[in-house]
Amino acid sequence: MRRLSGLAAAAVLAACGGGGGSPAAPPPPCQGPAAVAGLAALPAQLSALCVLEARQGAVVPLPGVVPYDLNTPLFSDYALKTRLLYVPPGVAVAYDAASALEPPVGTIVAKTFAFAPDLRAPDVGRTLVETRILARTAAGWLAGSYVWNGAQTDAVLAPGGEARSVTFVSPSGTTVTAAYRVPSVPLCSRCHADQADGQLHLIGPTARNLNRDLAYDSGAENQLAHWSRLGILTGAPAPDQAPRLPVWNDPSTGTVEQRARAWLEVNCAHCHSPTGLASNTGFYLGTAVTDPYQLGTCKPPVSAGPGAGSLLFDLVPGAPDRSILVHRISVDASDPAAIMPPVGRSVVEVEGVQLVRDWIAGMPAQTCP
Amino acid sequence: MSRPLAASLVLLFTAACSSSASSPDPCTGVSGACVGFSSSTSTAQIVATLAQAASDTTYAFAPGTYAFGSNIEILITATAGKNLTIQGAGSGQTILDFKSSTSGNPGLNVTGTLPPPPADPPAGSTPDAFTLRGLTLRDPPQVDGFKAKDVDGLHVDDVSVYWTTPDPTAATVGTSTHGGYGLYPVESRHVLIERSFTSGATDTGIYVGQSQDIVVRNSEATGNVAGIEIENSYRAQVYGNHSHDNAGGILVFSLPGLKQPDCHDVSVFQNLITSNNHENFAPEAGIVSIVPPGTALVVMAAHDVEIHDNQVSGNRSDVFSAISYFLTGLDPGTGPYDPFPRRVSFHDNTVSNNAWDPWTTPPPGAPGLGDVLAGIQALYSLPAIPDHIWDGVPDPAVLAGDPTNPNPQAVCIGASSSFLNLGTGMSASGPTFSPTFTTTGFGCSNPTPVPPSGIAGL
Repeated sequence: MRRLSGLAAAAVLAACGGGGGSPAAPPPPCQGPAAVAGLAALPAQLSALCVLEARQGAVVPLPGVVPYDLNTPLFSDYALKTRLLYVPPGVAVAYDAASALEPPVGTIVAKTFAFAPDLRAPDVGRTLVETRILARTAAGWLAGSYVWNGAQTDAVLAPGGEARSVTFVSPSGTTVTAAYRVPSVPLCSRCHADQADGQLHLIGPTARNLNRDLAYDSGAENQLAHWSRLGILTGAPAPDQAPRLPVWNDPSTGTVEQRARAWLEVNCAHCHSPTGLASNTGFYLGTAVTDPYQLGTCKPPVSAGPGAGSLLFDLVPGAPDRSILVHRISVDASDPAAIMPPVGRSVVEVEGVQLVRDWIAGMPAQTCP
Repeated sequence: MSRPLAASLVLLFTAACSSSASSPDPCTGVSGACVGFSSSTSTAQIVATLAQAASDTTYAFAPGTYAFGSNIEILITATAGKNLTIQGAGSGQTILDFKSSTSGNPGLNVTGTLPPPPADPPAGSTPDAFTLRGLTLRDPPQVDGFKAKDVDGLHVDDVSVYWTTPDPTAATVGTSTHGGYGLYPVESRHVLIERSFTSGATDTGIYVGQSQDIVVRNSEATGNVAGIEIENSYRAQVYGNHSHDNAGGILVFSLPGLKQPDCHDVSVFQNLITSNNHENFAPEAGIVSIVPPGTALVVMAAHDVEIHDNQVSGNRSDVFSAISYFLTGLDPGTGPYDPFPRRVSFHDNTVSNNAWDPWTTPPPGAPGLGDVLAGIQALYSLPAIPDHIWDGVPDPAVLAGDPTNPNPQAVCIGASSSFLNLGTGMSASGPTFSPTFTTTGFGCSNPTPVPPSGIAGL
């Protein structure tokens, strides 16, 4: 027999590298980002991918790797994020005005999550927690997260994920303790998998969400223009001709409705879409959804169970306090039946909740039956 | 309320614990690759192992109790997690305990990557072939016990789900730690649930939603709001089950606004549906909150449904109902949706001692179906509400082509003479009821529903 405490445990320990057992051999020095097209599994150590280095808590892209930022990001317990993209030479990402971009085989996307003691000074005392990787092989995307070691020199693949408590002062000055969770491989797929083809996909980097300036070493430039100039994006119109997702917390970029819908798309629509994990709910939150019933207006929940609290409808126009949508984004991990999203968040993004409340409160009031 | 099976399970657990010191190798008798877990294996390690479950592998738990600090996530992809079996030594012997779990996800959460099906796929293979067998999920996180989404080929055998905390009441439902569903396959195909047990779910014990080709058999559901529900699903057979002491025994529902519309070709037969008089402790938003305690079986807006050879007794409010979605008073939205029941046959059921005292809503609740029935009982001095109820809402399109048809929805009660047509009408101030009791036009039969296909072992 193969009892886990024997063989399989050894395998797990080996995967955990420096966690206490004998460390894996150090990877060879980097000669450019790793070729991932033929990989069957992610390497045990992040450094083997050769996409980034850590220097005093800052993530530094290695040559050939491009930083990017988003207009409206996913909320992850206020974690500070650094996003990097590597597209191999000779191939490029095709522009898509609506959906998330589909980078070619060989692409590596690296998103590093960090905290600082006081997020009002995010560069002071920053600690890297994890780097989530999506690597595009010939068979599809490989997903996994690497947990940074105490010395902040490298990170080790954690297929089963990890829980840790993090305390910090939030951007609005409140002391917050988060039950932060590094996702396991199945949790990666809960958000990134799409029923339409059974494959993983990117979520955040739609062209709309990328359509903004970034301060590159070479100076500020629109990201779509920069990527086009580098040859890693093809078919993109001029940035001012391309649709742009509002910045959820910048009123100059959209109305309350537009910004709330952007926030909901980014935080919810990867599941709440006809091909996402919450497809069975009939409650869809992409910015392209126009049917009020699909957006939850006077719609009873399908499978919310105890998560609905004592409320009756997903969204009651004019009445945020009667809307299950608001209830579920307003609770923290102490209400596990109700918390939304159920993956990736343990504390409340009070600023985002307020935006959604404002949107619903500003709708013409309706009395749902 | 009584829970005979739950009591006997407790005894079995005690026996299992006392013998676990000398537990045999859990992989004994397993053909093919097997990874064994004993109760001394760290549950964090079990979670990590199952997070990377390989294809064609059995993960076997020895007898014992396993306390999890998180939930268990399993992923089926094109290259991993296919033909996977998670098994224990029996539902009375292997207990996965989630009381200390802080997760907001189902206790055992399986996700496949089923592409959206065509409307009615042909019989085919069951490529995922996921089996869960011989274990108990105890006190799973407040959502659900076992959830499987987008899985083609699901076999649940001898699995128990229950909560050890007291059942919620209407007063405590908001603070209850009970979850919504016990066994919860959704958007899946080729689903077989058998010899399983669920108790205490605030929605439904055994719930199959938006799925196709389903068998639920020889299982027990008790102390849930709804015992067994088939919702927006095609080709389902529910037989040999004992659904008792829930608020409602068995439901066959079609709800609006869902990805898989419609509910059809459902057979419910040879079940024991008894004493479903439990308080309805569902959160008010859940559709099952409309079910009056004391309900045996309701078909709502589904078509081609056959209910036969069941034994039904001791349910205080109502026995067999075929109703439209209009009776809920809810907005069906603007998407495509058929709110009417059609071709629903009841025949050869054994019905005794039911519907003598329909449940009435205590103030300040809004009146429900139970109140309507109680009013009819009083008005007509009935010893009990008749065995078969149709809400009497006709599809205008059927009546347009056949204005004198007394039974436009083809609700058939066979040779029975026990029938109540609620004569529901819609007015600006809410529904009105003009009850009649004539069986003329209802003593019919309908074609037998299409059975499920492609389930191994049937």
